[in-house]
Amino acid sequence: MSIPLEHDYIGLSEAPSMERASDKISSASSSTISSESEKSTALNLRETELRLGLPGSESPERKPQLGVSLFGKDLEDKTNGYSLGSLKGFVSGAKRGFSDAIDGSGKWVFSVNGGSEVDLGKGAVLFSPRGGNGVKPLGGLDNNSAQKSCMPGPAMKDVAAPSSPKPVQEKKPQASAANEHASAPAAKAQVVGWPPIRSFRKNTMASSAKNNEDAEGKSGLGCLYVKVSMDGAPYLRKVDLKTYCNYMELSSALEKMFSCFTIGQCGSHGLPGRDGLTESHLMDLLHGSEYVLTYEDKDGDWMLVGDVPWE
Amino acid sequence: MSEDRNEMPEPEVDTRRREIAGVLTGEFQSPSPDQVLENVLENVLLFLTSRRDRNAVSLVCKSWYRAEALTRSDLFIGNCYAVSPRRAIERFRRVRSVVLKGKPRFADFNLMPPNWGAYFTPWVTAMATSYPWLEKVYLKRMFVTDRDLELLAQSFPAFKELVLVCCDGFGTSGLAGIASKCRQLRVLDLIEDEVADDEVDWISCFPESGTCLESLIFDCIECPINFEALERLVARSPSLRKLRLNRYVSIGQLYRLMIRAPQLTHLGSGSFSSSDIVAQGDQEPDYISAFAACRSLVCLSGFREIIPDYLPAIYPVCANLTSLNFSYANINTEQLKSVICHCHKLQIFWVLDSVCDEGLQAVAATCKELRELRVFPIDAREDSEGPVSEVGLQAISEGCRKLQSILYFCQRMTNAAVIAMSKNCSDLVVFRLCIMGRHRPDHITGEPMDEGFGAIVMNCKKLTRLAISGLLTDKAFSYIGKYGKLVRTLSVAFAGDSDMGLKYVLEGCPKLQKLEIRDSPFGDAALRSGLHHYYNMRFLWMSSCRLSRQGCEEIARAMPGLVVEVIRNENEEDKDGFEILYMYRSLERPRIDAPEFVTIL
Repeated sequence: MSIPLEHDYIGLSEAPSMERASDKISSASSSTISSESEKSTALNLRETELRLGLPGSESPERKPQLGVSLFGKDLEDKTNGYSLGSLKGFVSGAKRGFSDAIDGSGKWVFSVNGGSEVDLGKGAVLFSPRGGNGVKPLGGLDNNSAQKSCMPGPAMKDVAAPSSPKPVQEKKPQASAANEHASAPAAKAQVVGWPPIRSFRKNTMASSAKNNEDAEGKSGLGCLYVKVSMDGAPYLRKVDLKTYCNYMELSSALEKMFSCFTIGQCGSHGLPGRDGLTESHLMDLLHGSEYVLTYEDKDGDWMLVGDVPWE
Repeated sequence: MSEDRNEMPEPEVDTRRREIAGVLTGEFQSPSPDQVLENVLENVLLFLTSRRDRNAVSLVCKSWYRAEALTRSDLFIGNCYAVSPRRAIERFRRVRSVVLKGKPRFADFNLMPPNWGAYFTPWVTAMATSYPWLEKVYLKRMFVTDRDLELLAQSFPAFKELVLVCCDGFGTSGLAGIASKCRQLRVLDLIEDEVADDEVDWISCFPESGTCLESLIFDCIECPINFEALERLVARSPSLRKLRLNRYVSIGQLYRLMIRAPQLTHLGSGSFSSSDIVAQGDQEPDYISAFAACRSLVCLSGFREIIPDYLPAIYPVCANLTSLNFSYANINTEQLKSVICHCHKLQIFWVLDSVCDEGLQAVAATCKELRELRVFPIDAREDSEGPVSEVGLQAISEGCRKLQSILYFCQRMTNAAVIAMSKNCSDLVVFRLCIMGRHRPDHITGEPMDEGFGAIVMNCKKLTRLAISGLLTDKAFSYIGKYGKLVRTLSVAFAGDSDMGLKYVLEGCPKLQKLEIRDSPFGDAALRSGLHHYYNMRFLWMSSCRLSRQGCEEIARAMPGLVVEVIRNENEEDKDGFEILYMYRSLERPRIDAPEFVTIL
């Protein structure tokens, strides 16, 4: 088994493994692939799969079930019986810590089941495409990976291979790494008309959750869709705020969503080192230059995103 | 054939008419013994209301056929394309109430392109001239235009009841016409329709003098209404018993309506939240006493944007409730428990799975009279977190022994729980289980869900409606074919291994009338195995299965009394490919109003 790619977690060497990982996933998810070839591709790619862990820790046996969660929240906190058990197998591999690799600000801490949510969230940000190291948007397997790291997120249906649910299940942990933001921008490959809920009911639940957000009432599970517009873009988008756990993810997702409108590449791979966002960070993260995230509050004032705690 | 309407010759109506007219006006012409018998029969048949009984009566002999046709006042047409308006009107001359059903149920889930058909226009046009005394119209999944409503309002002076379920094509301007012109209107029920916002204040269109409104249901209307007009309307409708408000009515407004109408028996509470942010010191109305004043309230629904703090307001009525619909109310276990512990008489309960298994356990502990339970998912996606599971189902089966109808959405299920329900709830008539993950097996044993559903058909001897899900092999279908002798409606999705599955059902279920299948591996051979039965069915729907066009053409050739529609996806270029087979028996030639993406073989 070759030594996993450990060096230079930022930049090109990281991207291929991510891309291969995503290739594996997208090819596996295509409905024409038999489970055999899924396995073979899985084997090949596992070797190159990016694993991260605390510095100096041992690399564990690579098992598909124990996926790497780069982004998983601290699972101990969860009271929901979320099926994130697979993500708990957080690798304690002999990996280099991030702090070496990163110039400038920011600690890059990966914790094994004890880390803070925010730190893991930062991990998420790192692996979103910067400077053109794009993780391919995945057609098939944009499934509950987005969910794995936080409260119920948008459903990405796995249309592929309804006859092979098991391989798909295994892929999810790996998928989560790659798909975290690839899947965020748009719900892909939903099965039409399944589950069989009338659109009136679906729309009602969505809109009432949104209204609860506006009003003083509590909003429960459900979606929290807000409109996002970018100056100069021909159309607006809607995002479900519930799929994100912090501002990092939101800004990355928005960036991806609107990346098609930009010409330039993201400049820096710099990591945000603190919880809150400052204006300069935003400028770095989003298209490297001009864009800043703002929102209009109840009073109609334009506010900078990031000042108020996420909750 | 059970409901053939063209086997018997058309009755000789004119002679009969004269005779009846003669009897009515008192010009007594000495009738023949046959005519006496027919008169007697007609008078007796007036009391016969069940349409199945009436269908049986009409098959006895010609004279009984005539008598039945003249005395049938409630016309039920389960598929608007099975018979033409003209034919129905020619047979049944004295109809007061019409039920029409249009699109197949799977169209609700966006499986069919829009504009498929089911237009009300030809019906209302024909009835306008032929049924002057029409009083009631009930439409389900029909396309109804504002013009249709206008014509309806103008044509029937005695019109009393309009019920539209899952319909679309009209807007508030059509409603305005109904409100203003139907002076005898007692019932205006709009249930899960898509109503366009024409920005017409239809509430103000009701007559200014008192109305005879007994039921006003508009909770599906997704646009604001003129509340002051509604308040005045309620005040001048002393017969009002059923009022279901839409989500644009706040709880404060609800209060104002309730104190004007304490005689309500059915209440849809609207948003059940306040429109403005209520500050700490504000005096809120006494909601509890408003509810307490509604001593006759038995059915409660709404709660569209519920603020759970207001829930205690309904405590006073819980003990009398027989029907409670929380299916739009995002409440948790504790909040549900606080309410359900009072609801001992509850028979119908709809709820969101946000209440979790524990909430269902509380229901099972209290609601011993429960007949119908529906558990909807708050997060209707395949891979979401499922707060309810086999635990809730098991609890319900143990606590609610009189259960007759269940619809249960979940993410995981076990055969054991389904088997337990089959044994505990032997009165089950409707069993619909939707395991939202496709092909999902028993999550504890890993086995298919065959045994669970098998137990249901085996043990629930009264079962007429079944919806299956989860990982299912042909074995499940063999059980259904073997034991499901009373099953009339069967819904199948992502199930089965081979043609045998469908064959078992088509060969084994003599009462099968409505069969809807999607994404299951059934092909032409399976389709052929039902040839003996298709004339007894209302329809067959198969989408994304393994059918070929030739197979469908073969059926169309073999059965001239069937209309075989193959429906393409609108975007699909391939003119021979199709997504959906929808076929139904019909006395008419194939319809001419089919859109371009529908091919009738």
